[in-house]
Amino acid sequence: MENPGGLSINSSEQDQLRNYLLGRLDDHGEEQVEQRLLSDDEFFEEFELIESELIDQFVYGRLSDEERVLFEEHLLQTPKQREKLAFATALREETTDHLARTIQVVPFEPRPKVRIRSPNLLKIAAAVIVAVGLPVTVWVLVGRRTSDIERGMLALNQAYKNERLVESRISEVNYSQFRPTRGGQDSQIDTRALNEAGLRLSESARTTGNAASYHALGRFYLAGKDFEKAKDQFEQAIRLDSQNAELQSDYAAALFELGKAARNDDEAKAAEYFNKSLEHINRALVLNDSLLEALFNRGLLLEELTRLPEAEDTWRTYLQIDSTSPWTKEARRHLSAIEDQRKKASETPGALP
Amino acid sequence: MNNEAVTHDSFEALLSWLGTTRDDGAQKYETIRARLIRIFMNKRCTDPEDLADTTINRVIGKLSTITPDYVGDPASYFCGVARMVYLESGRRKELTISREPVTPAADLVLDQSRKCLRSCLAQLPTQQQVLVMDYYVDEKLEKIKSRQQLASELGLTMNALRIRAYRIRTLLEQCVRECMAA
Repeated sequence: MENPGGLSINSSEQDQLRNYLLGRLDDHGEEQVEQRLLSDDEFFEEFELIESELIDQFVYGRLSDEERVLFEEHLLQTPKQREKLAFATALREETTDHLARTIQVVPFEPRPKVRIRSPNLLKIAAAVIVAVGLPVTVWVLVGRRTSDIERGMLALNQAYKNERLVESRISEVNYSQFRPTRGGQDSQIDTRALNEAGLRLSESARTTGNAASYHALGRFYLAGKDFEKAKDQFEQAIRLDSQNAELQSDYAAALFELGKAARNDDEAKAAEYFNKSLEHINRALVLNDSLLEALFNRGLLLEELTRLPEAEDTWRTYLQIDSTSPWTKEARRHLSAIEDQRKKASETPGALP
Repeated sequence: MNNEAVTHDSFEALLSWLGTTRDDGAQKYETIRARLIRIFMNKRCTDPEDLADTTINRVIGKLSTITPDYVGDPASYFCGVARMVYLESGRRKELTISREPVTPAADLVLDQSRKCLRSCLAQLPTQQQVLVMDYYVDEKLEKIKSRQQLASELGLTMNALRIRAYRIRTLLEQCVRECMAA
């Protein structure tokens, strides 16, 4: 049945071990497993193997919600268990980076028939050749990918020129006034530009599949309050490029917004989002300690968590770096609000500072 | 906690019971102790090593009564004693999923882990490096070789591949642990 020298544990025994690890067995079941663990070397090795597979599934986000909770209860409690998780995380990142290094990021895919038939594109191509003197085929096949993202982001900024729907800062998205409700007769969103942004950025992600295109599409979804879709795109991008500070910051913003959305119905879920958001904001700031988007969003997050002294520090740090952009008005408003709260608290007898 | 005194003689008696030779008994003792620790860890006990030692000490204390008539693998006897030790201890850890945010320091730990991992990977034979990289990559990413494909290329069943990858992983974990400690 199995290779010589391999384990001969059957699938129901594997299920039993998985359930044991997740704490699903009753006392009798546990006793059966433990008896065998102490005396059966093969069974014990399978136990450790299944534990490592559970850890990998957790790291890759493949456990069901129920299993994830059980995993955290049973397999993340001791330093040794957390050490195993850290190893699995490092292994995931290392294998992903290894894959990214061995795959061409921008595939050289000749599609001359489709492109040459398009008169508009020929005109554009000719204009570019005249303008920059680049070989036509290289520009058509490679440059178009880049310009899809650039054009998509231009359109996105155009769409939200007069108002924005999310409070968080998104990298490469310019300032506009925050208005949380979407739609309505007085909406100032440029829907034509929004559609163009969606089309260009989706196409870029579909055809290129690199970190930049997933990141850009994630920004589109985040700006439009499609937080789950934004999260998915950012996660795809991060798998390919985990060292991009802006990407980490935008991912954190998506998680933060998801946390806010979950807060009324599911505190535990919200806490999980906020925790992960802070992890990624901090990662962004490790990569670039003066990244304004990350600092701004960190201030928002810490306020949401009512960690006001830290939020105050963050807003002050932000304003030291940026004292002139339109974002500073909001940053100052947040800082003032915290200072007011602190003053009120110190004036109230018995209140915590 | 049960702190029955363990003498040299009583410990030697345990080794004699566990194995036909002293070395054999010592190895069995180490194995049992390590597995008891794992069992207590899985029960979310805050001090698995302490409970494992308590279990062993209690077994040692009963040796004179159990060894004349005991039939079967001695390791199984430890299981029953361990369950009693666990019940008596009442040391089940309260569930406290840490909500402490990960600080930049944790990211530095991850960076260091990765550096150690790269260094440990480089010490493996090339074939094992390739196997680990191919086996543990995220299966959701495009353009990766499936595990089935990998198994076919290596002439292994899926389970044999799984075991082989796991055994290499165990070596890597040990290496990374030592590297991080250095």
